[in-house]
Amino acid sequence: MADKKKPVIDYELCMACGICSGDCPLSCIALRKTDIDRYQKAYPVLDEYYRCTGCTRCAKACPMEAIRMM
Amino acid sequence: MRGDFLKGYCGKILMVDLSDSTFEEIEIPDMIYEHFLSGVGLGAYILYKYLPQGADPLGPDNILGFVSGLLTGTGSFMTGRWLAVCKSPLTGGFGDANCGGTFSPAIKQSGYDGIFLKGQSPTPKMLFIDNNGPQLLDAADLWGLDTVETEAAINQKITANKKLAIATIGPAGEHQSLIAGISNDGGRMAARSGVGAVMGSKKLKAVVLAGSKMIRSRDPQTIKTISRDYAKKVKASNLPPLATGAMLPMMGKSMVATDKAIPIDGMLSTAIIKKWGTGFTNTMGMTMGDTPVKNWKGSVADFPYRKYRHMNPDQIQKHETQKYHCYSCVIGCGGVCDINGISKGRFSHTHKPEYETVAAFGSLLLNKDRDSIFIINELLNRGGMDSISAGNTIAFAMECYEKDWLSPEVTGGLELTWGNAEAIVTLVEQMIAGVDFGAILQHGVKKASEILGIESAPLAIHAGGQEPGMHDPRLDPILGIHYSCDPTPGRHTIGAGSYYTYMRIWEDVTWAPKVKLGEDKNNEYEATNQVGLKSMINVCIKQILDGSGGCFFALVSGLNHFKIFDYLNAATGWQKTPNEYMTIGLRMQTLRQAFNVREGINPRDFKMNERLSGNPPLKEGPLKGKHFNIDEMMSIHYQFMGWDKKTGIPTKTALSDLGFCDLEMEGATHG
Repeated sequence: MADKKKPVIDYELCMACGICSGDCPLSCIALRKTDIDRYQKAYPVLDEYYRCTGCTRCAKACPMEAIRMM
Repeated sequence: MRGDFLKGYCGKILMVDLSDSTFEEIEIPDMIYEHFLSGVGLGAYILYKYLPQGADPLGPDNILGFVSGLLTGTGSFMTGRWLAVCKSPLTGGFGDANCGGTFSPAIKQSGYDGIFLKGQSPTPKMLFIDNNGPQLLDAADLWGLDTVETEAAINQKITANKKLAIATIGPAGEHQSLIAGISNDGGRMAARSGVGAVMGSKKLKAVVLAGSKMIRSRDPQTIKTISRDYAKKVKASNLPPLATGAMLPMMGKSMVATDKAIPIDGMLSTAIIKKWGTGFTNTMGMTMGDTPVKNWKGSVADFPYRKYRHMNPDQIQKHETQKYHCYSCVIGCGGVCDINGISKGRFSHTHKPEYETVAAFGSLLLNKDRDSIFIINELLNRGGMDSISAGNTIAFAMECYEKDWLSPEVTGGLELTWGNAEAIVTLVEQMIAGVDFGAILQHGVKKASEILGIESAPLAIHAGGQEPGMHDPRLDPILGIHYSCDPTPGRHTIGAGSYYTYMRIWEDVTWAPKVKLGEDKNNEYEATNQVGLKSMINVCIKQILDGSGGCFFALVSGLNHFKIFDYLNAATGWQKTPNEYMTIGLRMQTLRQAFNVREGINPRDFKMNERLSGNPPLKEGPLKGKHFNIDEMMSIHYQFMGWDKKTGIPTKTALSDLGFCDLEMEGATHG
């Protein structure tokens, strides 16, 4: 059986707002990637790959549509 | 749950009785949201309806609420703030304290727009809510821990599917310091009104949330469109890479070099805040005259460049290891700073000190020791005490000491000379612990003045018991109106002439006067109709913001960018005009004022210390000679709010016009 699709973040679009992280029902996404912009803001990463159920809630919540399920 | 719940809000609150450990879910009719929004408006409605008149703020009848915002969790940006609400033990009237972080969405993800607690527990408790519902858990082992230790201990103790969102008090709240706040996210404080003392009086150590319920809006696609448009502008708003903190004092000077209004685009403030957070004001405020000096009686002449240069935000950011965003924020004003070396291993890190803390423990005390401010910041965050109130209170003590009204015998040997950083740090520790000379200062400046004697009262800088924020009304008199007229007095985020200019509300609200290029700012020192109208508009939009969970920095980025009215319509499905929303804001504020009147507050008693209105005027600095008549300013504000011009009490006509009779609140106190 194929694995469920997991969120992949497009950092060109992402604003580091933390909505995906705050809305994830299992807190699989953490804000800790800091090499994206000149302000060293903390961007999201899928920290808990195997715990993620691929529920798509993060992708649906993202106002920037910066998350694709792949 | 009602069928078509796609309105951004949950439609219910949780009421917890700590005396008998019972829970009650209360459904809130749609009409209440349409009249008061959520957030502070919902909080005011619940307090007005359920809090017995005359309740002791530190007794079982007081109600402590944790409220989210109507827009929180809807996909809107800059709307992740929550408030603690209660009857304030500091002022005796309506109390609220506003905070960011990650706690606000967690309230709604628990299924409620607000979580309210009444009664008192005989033993320390924490409230835990996940998708299975609420429980009260024993917290005896947490009592005595600071806020950071408490979060760590709870995370050890409770395992949940979702990362825990925790609001907690520290030792200051436990021993009911009247200037104690409530912390979340490792030391972010809902600091004002003494909300932490109320939590301590209920023996409630923490509220711990782990729910993951969905928050649904009527038109999420439109919300996303608005959000993307705002984000695009924020992303494009950046200062040139060569801009440094050394330029900020010059910017401050240039801003006061003219008496003419320059309505700049608010996105400039966004670019500045992105770079430095609130710290940009650390030095700019000195040359503008915005930053108070030496217990509000000094000027930049007393704390010149060679001293204030240590507060250059570039210097502070050298310690910053990471930026910090609140939930749904696209600006990111916060930061985490490494202070392991500074504190000699006592603390590994602290939240980047906000401007308010830097000023309250810097120029206000003539303290140029930046390292001490990092440590004080962490002490207060962990102790759970309001930095604005604590700084003002120590400034008061230092002025008393200067006048020889306090001797080292009274202070326990502390030399409270201006700028004595070591003594300031010790005194902060004493205040948090409520011991030694700190026991006299732990309840804020009004109480300290009462203990030390009536002669000291003119030195006690407060409005209605609440110490003012670090912004000087002698620079911006409308700020003084809000310090003196708000039902939660002494607050710097309610309104000001400068905020009015930045938010450009005249582009949405048809009756709001436009600020024209070159308009004479000196007109704001007189109690004119224009001043009354601007201050009333400030209040209305601030209530809308606090009912939505909105961030003040979004507001001052300009409503032409931050489309709060469009957000609200898209979230709820309402089709209200900005003018109609302003009526809601007016109603929210009037309800808060009616609450105060019901609780026996004389609104005129909230008048700020006369020193803040330039009585007597300063003899040096950028605000030299500036003064205004605060009594007349209060009258014109009351008049435009529809309250009695003399007493500040909402009139019967105003209450009727705002529909209080339809809400079965016809008993609301009126003049």
